Amino acid sequence: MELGGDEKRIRALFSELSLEDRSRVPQFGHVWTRAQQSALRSAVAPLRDKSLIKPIAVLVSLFVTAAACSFAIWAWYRSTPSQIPSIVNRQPLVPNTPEVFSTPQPVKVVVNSRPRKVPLRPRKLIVRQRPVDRQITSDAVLLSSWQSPTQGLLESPTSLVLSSLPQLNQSAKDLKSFLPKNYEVIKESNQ
Amino acid sequence: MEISELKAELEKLHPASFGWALSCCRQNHAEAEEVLQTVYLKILQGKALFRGESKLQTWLFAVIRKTAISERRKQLFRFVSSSSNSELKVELEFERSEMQRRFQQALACLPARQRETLHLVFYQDLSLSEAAAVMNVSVGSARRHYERGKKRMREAVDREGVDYGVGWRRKENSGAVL
Repeated sequence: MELGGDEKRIRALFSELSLEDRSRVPQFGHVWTRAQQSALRSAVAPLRDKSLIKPIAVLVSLFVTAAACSFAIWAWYRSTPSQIPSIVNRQPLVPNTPEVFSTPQPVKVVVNSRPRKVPLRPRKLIVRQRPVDRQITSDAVLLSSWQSPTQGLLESPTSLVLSSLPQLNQSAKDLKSFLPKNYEVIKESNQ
Repeated sequence: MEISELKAELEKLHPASFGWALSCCRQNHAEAEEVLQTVYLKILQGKALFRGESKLQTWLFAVIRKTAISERRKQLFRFVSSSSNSELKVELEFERSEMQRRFQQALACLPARQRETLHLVFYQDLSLSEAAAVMNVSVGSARRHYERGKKRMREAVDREGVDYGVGWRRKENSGAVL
């Protein structure tokens, strides 16, 4: 192995460094004894060994994290409200409504003003919410069958005629009654 | 290998091991001693087991290197400021010749792998394949670190303006040590 000029110089510098280091080398016996003492200490107190402490610490931290997560999920499900707004001061539907000109009590529907964020739920928990769904359905039925107290005012006297069809054996004169009053005027304007 | 036999071998290699530990610990005397003690402890506890797959020196140097790296990693989390260490360092700096001091500075500027390769080849007289085994890299990679290390060393020393008596800027010999 032949060395170049650079290598020779680098080697010379390293050998000088090596000589310097050798003067500072600690005694082997001293270092070995200390290592032996450390080995004895760790054998006597194995719990202080890091190899045991680390897995225990990891396990404990995992357990604490899992407990905190499960508590947070449980608390979240407990606090989640119903998706349909709550109805306050709801009046039941009265079968015999008073006449048109009577002044009925207005039905007050109060909706929670603050819109709630609808969270996505896992499928498993939908099963748990069935009683709540039933309540929601009954509320929806009540709302859909609700009629305004002024419903009677919207009815017209010709509603009977509009809702029935003329009979085939009726005369043309009678049939004219089904035509609008300004039928002749419309016919002339079309021509 | 029995423990008494191993101990005798370790004693023979102790000065070289300390030199290597010093290089791994950036010339920190106390840290190098600590690393060496930890290595002996690992050997005594059976955590570092020599199976005879390589030379004892190669195996021991690899253990020292790994231990030094892990110790350095641990020290990142600690705030160690030892006045005795700094005093010792100052004293050593004073004793060191100017040329050697500049050489040390140039060596410290090199990347770790290049510094390690140069140390193993020039200081410990290991071949490139043995150095590669210690550093746990391929021989090709070790050769690359060696060449680059030499080049950067020369550049760094030129920057420092060290006069080595003979012209330093000679044509580079590309012949690798194998």
